[in-house]
Amino acid sequence: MPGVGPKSAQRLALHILRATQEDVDRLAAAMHEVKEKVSFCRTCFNLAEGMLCPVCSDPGRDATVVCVVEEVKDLAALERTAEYKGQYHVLGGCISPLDGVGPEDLRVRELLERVGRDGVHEVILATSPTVEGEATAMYVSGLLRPLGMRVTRIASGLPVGGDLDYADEVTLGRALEGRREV
Amino acid sequence: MIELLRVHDLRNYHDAEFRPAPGITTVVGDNGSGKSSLLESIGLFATLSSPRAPSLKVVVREGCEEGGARLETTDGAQLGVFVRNGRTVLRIGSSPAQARDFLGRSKCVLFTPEDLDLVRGEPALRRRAIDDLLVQLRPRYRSMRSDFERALRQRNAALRDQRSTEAALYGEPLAIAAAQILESRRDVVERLGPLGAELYTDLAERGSLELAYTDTSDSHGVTGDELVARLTGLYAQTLHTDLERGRTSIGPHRDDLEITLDGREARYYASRGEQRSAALAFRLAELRLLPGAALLLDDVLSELDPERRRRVFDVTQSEQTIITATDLDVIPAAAKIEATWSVVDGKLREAS
Ligand SMILES: [Zn+2]
Repeated sequence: MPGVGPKSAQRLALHILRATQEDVDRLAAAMHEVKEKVSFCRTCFNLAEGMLCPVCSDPGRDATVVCVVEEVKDLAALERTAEYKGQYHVLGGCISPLDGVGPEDLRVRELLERVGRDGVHEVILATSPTVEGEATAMYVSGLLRPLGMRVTRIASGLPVGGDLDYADEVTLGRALEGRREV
Repeated sequence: MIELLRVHDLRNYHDAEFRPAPGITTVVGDNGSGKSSLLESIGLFATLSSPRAPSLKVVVREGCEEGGARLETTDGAQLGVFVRNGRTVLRIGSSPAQARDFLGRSKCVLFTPEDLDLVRGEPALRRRAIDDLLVQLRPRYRSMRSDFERALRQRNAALRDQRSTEAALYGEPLAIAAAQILESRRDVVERLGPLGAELYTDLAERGSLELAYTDTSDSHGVTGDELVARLTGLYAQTLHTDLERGRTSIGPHRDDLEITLDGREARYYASRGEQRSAALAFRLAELRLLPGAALLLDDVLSELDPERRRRVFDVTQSEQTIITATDLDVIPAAAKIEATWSVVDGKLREAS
C-alpha cells in the first residue's frame, strides 16, 4: 500500500490481529463499500459516490472556472481554504520521466475536451510548486493558450518542493488569489 | 564561535563532548581514531553534507538508527543535526528547523588532504568547493541546487528513454534552475578571485593566481531573464545531440573553475608545491568571505613543507581554528595553541 513502509505494515498487521472479530468485519465491509460505491467523477476525476462528485453536482459552483490539480488530495486542500468557488480537474499526477510518467498517462485529453465543450473562461494551474509541477503546468498551458481562454498559475510562496496539502489554508488561499496569467 | 559540540552515534563516536577554545585548538590522535569524523561533524552544521559521504546515511554509527550532533555557539545558539533512517532532521533550540533557516548559523571552512588535489583533481571537486561556500553564504542556494539537480535528472531520464517531448518540456525548468546556479557561482568566483590572488602572494609564492568560472553555456555577462532565455534556447538547440548522447551536455553540472598561474593553467604547468599553495589560497579566500567561520584543518599540515606550514599561520586570521594531526610536531612553534585535545578510539579528552 502506498505510504506504508515495512514497519507501519507490521504495526497494522498487529493491530488487526489484536482487534475483535466485529471490528475486523466492519473494516472489511468498509473496504468493500469503497470499492463498490466510490469511483472517479466523470467530469473532474475527483472521488465521487455517483457519476458526479459533490463539487460538480453543486449548482452553486462556477462552471466557467476550472482549477487543475495533480491529485485528489490537492483538491481537498484547496477546498479547505473555502475561498474557491469554481470547479476542478484532477490530472492524476505530474509529468515525470524519472517515474516513467508522460503526458499520455495524465488526464490531459479529458481536460482539453472538457474546456472546449463547457464554455470555460479561465483555467487555473494549481500543480505543485515543484520542478515537476512547474513542467506539467508549462505543458498544459501550452495546449490551452491557443484555445483562447485565460490561463493562470497560482502564485509561488508555497513551501518550496512541498505538496499543496502541506500548505496551510491561509497560504494556499493567498496563492490562489495572487495567481497570474501565463 | 563554537563553544561546545556533542557527538552522538556518529562514525566511531558513541557520546563525546568537545570544547574548542577561541584561537587555535589541536586534536591529536592516530589514524582512524576519529579526528576527521570530529571535523566532519562540525562541517555538517555548515553545509548539511560531508565531503567524505555521498549520503549522510553512512555517517551514522554502525548498528544505530539515529546519529547526530549538537552544537552551541558562544553567542548562545543551540543547533542540532540528526540523521534518522537516512533523513536529516534539524533543530534550532528545541524546535524543528528548515534548512534555509538553519544554514549560515555555524559556518566553517574545512581543508582536507583531498583538497590538496583541488587544482589538478576532477572538476567535480572544484564545483563542490564553490557550492559548499554558496550554501553558507546564501541559505537559499541549497534548494536552488536541489531544484537544478531534479530538473537535470528529469531531462536526462527523458533523454535516456528517447522521449523527446518530455526532454523538450524539461528544457525550460532546467534553464530556470541552471540560470540561478550559474549566476550565483559566477558571482562568488568573482569575489573569491582577488582574495585568492592576494593570499597566494601572501603565501610568498611567485606568480599571480587567477580564478575564473568556465561556463559550458558560454553566457558570459548575460544575466536575469536574458540568461534564462539564452539557456532555454540552448537546451532546445542541443536536444537532438543530447538525445543521441542520452545526457545533457551543457549546464552547471559540466562547468569548472579555471585556476591559472601567470595566465597558464595551474593543473598542467604549476609545480606540486604551487598547486598546494593555490588550493590553500582558495580555501583561505573562502574564509574571508565567511566572517566568523571556523577554519578546520584536517591533517593537512603534514602534507606541506615546513616553510609553507609556517606561512599558513602567518596569513590566517580566523577567530577559531581547529587542527587535527597525528603529531604536534607539524604545528609551527610560532602558532599560539590555546587548547590541546587527544582522541583515542572515539574518546575525546582535553590535555591539561
Ligand atoms: Zn467532479
